[in-house]
Amino acid sequence: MSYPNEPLLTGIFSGMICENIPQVRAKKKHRGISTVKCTHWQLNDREVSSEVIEGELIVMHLKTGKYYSSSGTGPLVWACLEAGMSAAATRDFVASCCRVSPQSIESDIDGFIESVAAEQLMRESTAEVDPVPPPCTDPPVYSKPVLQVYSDMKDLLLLDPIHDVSEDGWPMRPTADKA
Amino acid sequence: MRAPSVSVVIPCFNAAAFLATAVESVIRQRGDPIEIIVVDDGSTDETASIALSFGSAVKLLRQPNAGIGAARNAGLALAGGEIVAFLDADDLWTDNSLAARLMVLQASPDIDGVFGQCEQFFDAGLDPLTSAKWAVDLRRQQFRNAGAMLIRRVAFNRVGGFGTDLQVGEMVDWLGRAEAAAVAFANIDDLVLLRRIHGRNNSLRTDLRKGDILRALKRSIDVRRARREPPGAS
Repeated sequence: MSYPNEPLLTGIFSGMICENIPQVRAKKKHRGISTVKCTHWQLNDREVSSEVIEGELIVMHLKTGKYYSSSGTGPLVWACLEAGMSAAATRDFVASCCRVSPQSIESDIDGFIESVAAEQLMRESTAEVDPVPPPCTDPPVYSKPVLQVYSDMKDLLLLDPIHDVSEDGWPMRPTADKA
Repeated sequence: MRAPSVSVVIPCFNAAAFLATAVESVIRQRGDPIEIIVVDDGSTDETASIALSFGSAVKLLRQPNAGIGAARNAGLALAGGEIVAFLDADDLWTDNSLAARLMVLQASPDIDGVFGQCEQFFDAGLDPLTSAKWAVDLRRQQFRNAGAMLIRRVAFNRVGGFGTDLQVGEMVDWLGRAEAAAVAFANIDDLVLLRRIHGRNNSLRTDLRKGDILRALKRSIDVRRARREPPGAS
């Protein structure tokens, strides 16, 4: 099974169509299709920072001091969720990208999302979204996405107040000057 | 038994407002004299002249700006002590800081390094309206800040110097390598470090600097993973 890589995909799951996707609402208006309200995921960006480094997702929670890693399919799943895709849309997109059946990975994706939610890295939202799926170029061979949890640097990660300051701290010589 | 010699490295960047207090807090320590090395990392203020005002009590190294990791490493290269310590120029040691940590190293040859406890405080010059917005934990706590660490030189060398490409998070990176190098640390309940919050702290996390910490965490994971799973291991 293959899916077109277009934003509307993110509004379809299990034969139902999410009404809180702008494109879906627009089509519904003209075609009279039935919809349901769907939740998607939103990064807890006030307290969470993440980056994919050398193919591995690294996340830190500035309030709990825990940090996380996930490799293999994990970064792709995270990118889908971060883009605002629902669980079902994420499952479908990852399945399409990794060329596996959606049914075979459903529990894996749900389990990963449960971990992400339990660690308060993302929260559910029903706000209107217009998610753009991440690129599917060079997709990973499918492996069960797992969120590894670490808590050994809590003291250092919790040390500082969470706020933004001006960039006038200790500078570093630009990389080009170091050569 | 002869007490081991101790060197402390104080890296500075435009630290004129705080350096004298930091150096005085080291000079106040009980016991044998400590080798104090101030590394001026390209300051444009009076940092160097303040260091020089302490005369022979302080060795001053001046270098073009290269970042806190490079400054600490440069100071360490000059250090002659069998035991080394660090203190950021905006922080202070308590009067018993060195003695409390040194006692552990002298009594326990199998311990490589010691961390004491720390308290944070707002600098008197900080605007109260600004500090009121910050969620700073002012309770006494155990954390592995470089300024709270005392370590045998041989153990530090086993780990290697601080990363020079990280603006913040260099201690996260270093500790990951220390764990991989099986450095044995002890934690003590004594208060050893007073950390000043003044609004320009190097480790306050702006969005740009979060990236450095994430990279340091990644390295830390990698080195520990490599230790557990050597290349080629099944």
